[in-house]
Amino acid sequence: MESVEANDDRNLVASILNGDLKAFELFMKKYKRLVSHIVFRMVPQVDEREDICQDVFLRIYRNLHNFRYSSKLSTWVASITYNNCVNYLQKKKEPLFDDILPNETNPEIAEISDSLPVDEVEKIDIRERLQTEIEKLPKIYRIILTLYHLDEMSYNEIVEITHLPEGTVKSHLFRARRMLKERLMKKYRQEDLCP
Amino acid sequence: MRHPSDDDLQEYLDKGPVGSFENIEKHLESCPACKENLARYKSLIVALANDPDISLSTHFEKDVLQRLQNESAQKSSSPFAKIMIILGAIVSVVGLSIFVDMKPFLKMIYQPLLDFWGRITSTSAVAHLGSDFGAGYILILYAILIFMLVALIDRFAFRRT
Repeated sequence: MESVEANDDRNLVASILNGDLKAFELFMKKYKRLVSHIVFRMVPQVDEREDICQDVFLRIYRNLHNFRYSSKLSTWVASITYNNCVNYLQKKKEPLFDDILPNETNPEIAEISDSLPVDEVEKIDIRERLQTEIEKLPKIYRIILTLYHLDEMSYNEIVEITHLPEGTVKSHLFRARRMLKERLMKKYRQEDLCP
Repeated sequence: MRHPSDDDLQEYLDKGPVGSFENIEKHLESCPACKENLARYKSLIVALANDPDISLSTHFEKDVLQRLQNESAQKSSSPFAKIMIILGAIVSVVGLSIFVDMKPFLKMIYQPLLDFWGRITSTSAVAHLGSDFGAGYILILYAILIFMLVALIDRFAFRRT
């Protein structure tokens, strides 16, 4: 049996395909959070992000008749957004995978972080600092973190969107979180010493 | 048991009670360092689920709809443009056939088609009207015609979107 959300999506898509622009407006309101997460995480050019989000929705509108419900609508939307961003980055000759760091952790950082008590870590404004640190991660790490944590997608859905093997998605996710944890701990330590 | 790695701890957090992590759970009970590391990951995961400060403009939907309407307006005007181009081409050809004796020019350029066009122009009742036109005018008219045909081919054969 279909979930209520899937049923809503079907009705929404049917209305859009019948030319109902109000329905498309609702569609945009529903999915702009997902689209903007992906675009904002993947595209470094701040001025271009909103235009890219617009392009994504125009592409979705033109291709909606091709959607066959073989996946969730959100996965399909994320897929189109991801591909649009990849095309954009290719045009700009921006690396998507080349900025992945070698698979080693900095033992010095790990040592410092291991010595920090948890309650102190929780006190810091982790949210603001976290966003800064996420921006410094390789793009593919950023996008996997976003899809997994912000948009609550499963490994299978992320595999479908990024066309990466499940093992790679998982290792990128684990590595991204480990890097974030280590970097946040390091920053906290530095600030503690020099306020 | 050895200390679980960071990947083990993350796996444990992601899968929770679904996975089989008895060894890790036992270890965590007796190892404050690993327990602390796990708590750090927990805090991080909670923070990662918070929406970042990402916002599109308030008129985002309107802008997209506007672009959509502009596109469809362009599309709907294009059949009219197509008809006008085709009509223009036909009128030009017919006009030239009626008012201009195209033989000298055609002889020069379109030798293989001369007989065919020659028959058309010679049987035309008003063919003599065009005989006063100089070769320069004919050339200009032909240039316009060729330009229109090239534009037509370009539009319909190469720029179909």
